[in-house]
Amino acid sequence: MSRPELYGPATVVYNKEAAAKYTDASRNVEIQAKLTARAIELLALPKDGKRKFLLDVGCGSGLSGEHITEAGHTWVGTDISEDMLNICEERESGGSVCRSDMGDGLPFRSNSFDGCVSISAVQWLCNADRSCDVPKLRLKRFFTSLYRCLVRGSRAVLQFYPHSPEQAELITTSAMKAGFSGGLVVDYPNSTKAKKYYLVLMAGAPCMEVPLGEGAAGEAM
Amino acid sequence: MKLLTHNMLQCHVKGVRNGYPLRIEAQQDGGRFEVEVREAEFSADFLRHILPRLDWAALLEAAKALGEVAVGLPDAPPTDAMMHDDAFLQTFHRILLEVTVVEGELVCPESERRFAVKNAVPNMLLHEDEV
Ligand SMILES: [Zn+2]
Repeated sequence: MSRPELYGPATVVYNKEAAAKYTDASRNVEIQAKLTARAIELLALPKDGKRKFLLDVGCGSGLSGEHITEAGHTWVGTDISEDMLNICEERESGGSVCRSDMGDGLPFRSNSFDGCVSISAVQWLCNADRSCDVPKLRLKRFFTSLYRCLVRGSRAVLQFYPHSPEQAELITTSAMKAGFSGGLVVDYPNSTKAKKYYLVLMAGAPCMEVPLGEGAAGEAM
Repeated sequence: MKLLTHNMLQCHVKGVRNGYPLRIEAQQDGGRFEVEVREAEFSADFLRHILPRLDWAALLEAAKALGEVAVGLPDAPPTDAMMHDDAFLQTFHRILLEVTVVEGELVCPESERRFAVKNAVPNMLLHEDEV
């Protein structure tokens, strides 16, 4: 099956009809569920069972978001497709969404989110839809703004479909230049069908608990 | 758009330095302004977790713009005692996570750029010359 991003910009590909079709196709639903579950696992959130505040980039019609809701977290989603977002609102997937192009940078202030997941979206950044769209610039704006809006020490897990090893390399390098550490996790690398790429990124060092100074707890010398 | 989301949103037009907080207003064309309460799962832990990350002044201003549906927040960030008071937490939860702007506009304090909110979705897409 050829992938949708080869045809044109996301706004054109996911028009009303295509958006509804994509959301209904049960195979898609199942794949999205698996990818989202794996992405949440790779986020490695603190195991305190507490609700976290997550960002879903390229949330589409809310298929991934539904799983974030089920996993017990609150989320904000962004997508470029108005039709997808309207379905997302209708389906009450539990998130709060806004329309934006990830290549323009994310419209959020710093230290907003405990983590970010993105399912099958980042490869879109490498498409040049408009004359001014240079993939490198779009990647830079995306990763810089993503780094900024994540709480220090949190993670972003971006599942994507690279067209080529060079593209995977370009995306990873852009993330590192923006300050992230981490790298690619490849699931089932020996199977052409099941092979999946996750870019696992850390935004700075995790919050460290500073130890008490000696004598500070009040114990006698 | 929940007020929690609004609290994190900012104008990202190229060259804008202080695109925060976005004012909530009626739509300029047609004057549409619609606010709804949409149920969300309550979690006291989440409210306590997210409180230090909120810009309280921005939340107050946003709540004020929505009128009666969002009344009940204190002028200063809630104290620890309030964050363990169930009645207050319910009010806080409703305003932060259930009150939803369905139709309206967000206005940048610096560039005065207006972002439409339609069907509860703020449109933060930029024009080519704004990137
Ligand atoms: Zn602005």
